[in-house]
Amino acid sequence: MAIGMAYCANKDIAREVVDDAFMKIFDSIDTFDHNQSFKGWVRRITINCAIDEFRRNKKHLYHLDVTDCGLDLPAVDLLEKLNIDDIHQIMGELPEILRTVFNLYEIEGYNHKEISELMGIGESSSRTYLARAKERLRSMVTRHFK
Amino acid sequence: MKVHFDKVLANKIRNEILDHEETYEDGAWERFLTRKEKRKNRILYWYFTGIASSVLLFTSIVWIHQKSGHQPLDIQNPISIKEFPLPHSRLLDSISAKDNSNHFLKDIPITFNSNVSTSRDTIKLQNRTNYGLALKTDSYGNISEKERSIVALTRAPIIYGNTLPNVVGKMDLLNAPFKNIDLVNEELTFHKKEKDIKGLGSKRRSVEIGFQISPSYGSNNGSSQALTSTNFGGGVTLNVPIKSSGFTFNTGVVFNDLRLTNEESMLATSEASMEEDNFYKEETRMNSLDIPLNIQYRIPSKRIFFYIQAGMSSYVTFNENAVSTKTTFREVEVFYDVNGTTQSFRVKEAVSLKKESDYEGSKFHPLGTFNLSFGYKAPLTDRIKYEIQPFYKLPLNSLTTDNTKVPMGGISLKVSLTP
Repeated sequence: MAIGMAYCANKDIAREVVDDAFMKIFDSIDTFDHNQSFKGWVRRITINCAIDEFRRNKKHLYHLDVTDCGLDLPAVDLLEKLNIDDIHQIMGELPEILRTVFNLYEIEGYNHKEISELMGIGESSSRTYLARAKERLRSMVTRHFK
Repeated sequence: MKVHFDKVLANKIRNEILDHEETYEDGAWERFLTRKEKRKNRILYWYFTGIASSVLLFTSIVWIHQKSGHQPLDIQNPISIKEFPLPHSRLLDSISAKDNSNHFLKDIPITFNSNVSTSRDTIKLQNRTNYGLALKTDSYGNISEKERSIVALTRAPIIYGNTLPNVVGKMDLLNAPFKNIDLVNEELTFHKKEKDIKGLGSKRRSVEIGFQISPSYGSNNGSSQALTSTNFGGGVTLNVPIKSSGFTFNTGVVFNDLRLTNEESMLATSEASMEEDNFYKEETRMNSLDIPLNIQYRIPSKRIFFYIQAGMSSYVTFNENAVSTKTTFREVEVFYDVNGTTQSFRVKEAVSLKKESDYEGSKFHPLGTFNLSFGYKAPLTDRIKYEIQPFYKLPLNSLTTDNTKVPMGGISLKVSLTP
């Protein structure tokens, strides 16, 4: 559920993603390689389900608002005060495409080429979305501490 | 500064998310089981529908083949014949054809159990010691009231109407130049007109160009989703008969105007334990060109006939427009001041959010749908026919960017022209 929450805008969508992931897990449990980590396998399936959900909504993902940049950044130390709820809230406000690219790059450790293949977008688009995601996050965190 | 900030922020987010463990939500497992059961029922539904359709299709094909099984006959024109029983029988190695002037017309090798068959009848060759005779008369195929006859004799004439002169009339077997011929006092041949043969040539199936309109409708309802689609198509089709068979290759280009509506309602509970009713509606409009590749099997009959058709369609899609509306109905608590006292009450508010997307590029989707249909075809004039063709299209690949697949059924109305 934590993975679903990281990839989805709200809890309802995260629940659906997790349900879908569990269905896939039950359907393909026979194919699980016991030499590998079960947790990692489940995690991978859940991320794939989140990406499927992203693909389903793909057509609405190109509407990115132009937001204000150039705010004064808060002190880096303040970031330690962010808790998981704050992070879920901030991440939930990110447009889905930015959130997915950010998660895949920063949390899962994929490179832009892999992200472009997974999400069906261009490699340069992936870079752009990551930059925009960071810009948005910076702006939202700044607003959060004001 | 920014780079450092981003790095620290990304690390913070990564650590928090990876370390976070979401507490189990009451009812989550039951909710999952409910969804799983619904999915299982849906799979069973499609499984049994698939089996039933396959059985129906197989039965239809077997039935059609039984009705129309025939071997092509190596004679100039098709014949239908009536049996002419003879008192003795012996099998023939070969027979030859002669006209009433005892001129040999054609040698036709016939072996034991040879079936000289038409679509409905089989000529049975019968013989006596020195000759055999079979005669059948009937109308055949598309040529109503035009008759063919055949006479077969052991080492003696096989005479059939098509090869006889117009004036033949009766065949006098007594004068046939063979020994031991019994009297067969029957009219053996029939007048045959030259136009009969011409008529046969012109009745061959030829290429047809058709114009069609095809409205269709489809729906695919899930647990909380209602997905409907309406389509209106119009275009040109081409029927190319496959030589010496009842099959026809069908293709064409059909312009489609497709509208998809996806409605979903979801009841959720907000943090303040107030109920939220979310209603999603997504309307997609898209134009496409349908390029079908179908095989049509014609059920043999006279001028009016039925056919079944199956194949695949590829699509070129363009001009996709999607409008998504999310409406949330929720209860909110409103506070207001009455004479210095704060009072509150709950009201229901609706919040609506609308997004619109346009895609003007075109995309090719090979093997977009599996097509299955049957049809009725009848002539309007000698060269123009009309067709009524109910059809079913099962999506193999999605045409829209959101991977929506909706099976559709409809009816095509066609007018086809033989150039």
